[in-house]
Amino acid sequence: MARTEKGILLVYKGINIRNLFLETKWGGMSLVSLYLSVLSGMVVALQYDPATPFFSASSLDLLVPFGQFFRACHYYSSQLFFLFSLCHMAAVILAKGEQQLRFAKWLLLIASVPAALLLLFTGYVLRADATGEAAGVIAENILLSMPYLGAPLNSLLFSIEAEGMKRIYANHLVGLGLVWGVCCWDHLRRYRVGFAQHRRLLLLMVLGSLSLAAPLEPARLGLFHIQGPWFLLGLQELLRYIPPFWAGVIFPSTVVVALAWVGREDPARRRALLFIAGWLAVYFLLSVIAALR
Amino acid sequence: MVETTGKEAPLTRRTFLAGSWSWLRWGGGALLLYPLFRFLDYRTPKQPRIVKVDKIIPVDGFALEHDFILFVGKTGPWAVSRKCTHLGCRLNFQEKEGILLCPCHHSRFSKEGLRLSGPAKKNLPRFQVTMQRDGKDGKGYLVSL
Repeated sequence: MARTEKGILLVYKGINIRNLFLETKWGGMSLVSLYLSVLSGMVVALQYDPATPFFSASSLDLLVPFGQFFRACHYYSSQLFFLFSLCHMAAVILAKGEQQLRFAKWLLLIASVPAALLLLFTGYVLRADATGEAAGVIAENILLSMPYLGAPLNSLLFSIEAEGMKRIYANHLVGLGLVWGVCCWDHLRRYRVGFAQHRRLLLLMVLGSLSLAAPLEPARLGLFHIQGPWFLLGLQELLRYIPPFWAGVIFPSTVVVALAWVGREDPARRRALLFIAGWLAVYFLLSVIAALR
Repeated sequence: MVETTGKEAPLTRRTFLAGSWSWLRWGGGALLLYPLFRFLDYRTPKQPRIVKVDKIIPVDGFALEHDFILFVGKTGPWAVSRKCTHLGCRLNFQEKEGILLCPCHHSRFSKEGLRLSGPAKKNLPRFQVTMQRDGKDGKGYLVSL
């Protein structure tokens, strides 16, 4: 590792990792994963019934011909969509690409991150196994801990206690996708990404889905430990120590605000990046503790 | 994609009116949220649920149901909610220690529903239980939720 004028240069076996990261087409890969996620999601939705969510999700895996494949396809492509989106954002920030955007447009793109996260999260909840069920009620109670805005937001997004999976399903299917689309519309209409440009990734996702089922916890009595989805492990750990409003609303909001601030010029940008690095380190540590429990 | 930030136009009557019109439209849009949230917030009144546990539980025994745990002691039966008062996860009964444990953040409660430790701050709600002995509906317990 060496420090150059352009920052830290990471070289491994003659390969410049920084350049490799910057040159990888994360945005295109993310978009192709999203295509597959939407297509497989439409297929899964034709069999899924939100009135009997767990029965429906397990039937997909156990009874419906190719149900396991389509559910796995939806699951893995969605995960990759989110991961590649994050990498795309990191690469843009690393190349200072956001400085070429108007601040309002950068804000809109940053707003797509929580929307994508909620899309992923509602998918977890909809499978309604022990993890999904717990994640849903936790999210509902975190929202309800917010003064004034919590109850209307919960009515809009989750309302699992009163309505079951009805609203969360509607939001997963239409509402959140629409929000994400509005946030990214201006950004995406400038690019054309076709399936043909990412054949290897597509093949990997399809083959992976054929051989690896999406996670689904079997129903069992006496469950004394639940581990949330990987991206919420840190939050789960934090909820042990501090009240839900601070752990579940304020703490995650700070990193979104900092991401928005990256769109400003230095020194605000540099401070925001330092804050994000610290936040990620703390979150990673919390996630490791939660995973080791 | 390159979008440079241009210099802001000087404030004239025309730009002021155009700006005000834009704010008015945003305000009007925000006002539409009020009926939306009133609509979403409405809850159809639900009848109280009575759940029947169709078996006789021996003294010091218990029955784990979806929404509650029914215990039977020397003084009679009682039921406590399985919903953790911290963030709503479903509690399970650890027979060895005789406690109710939350699988999400490990709050602990006694069989009577009293909070023992963990991030939960409140005790568990208890439900009314009526015992049925050889009635026309058979033996068992009726729990009012």
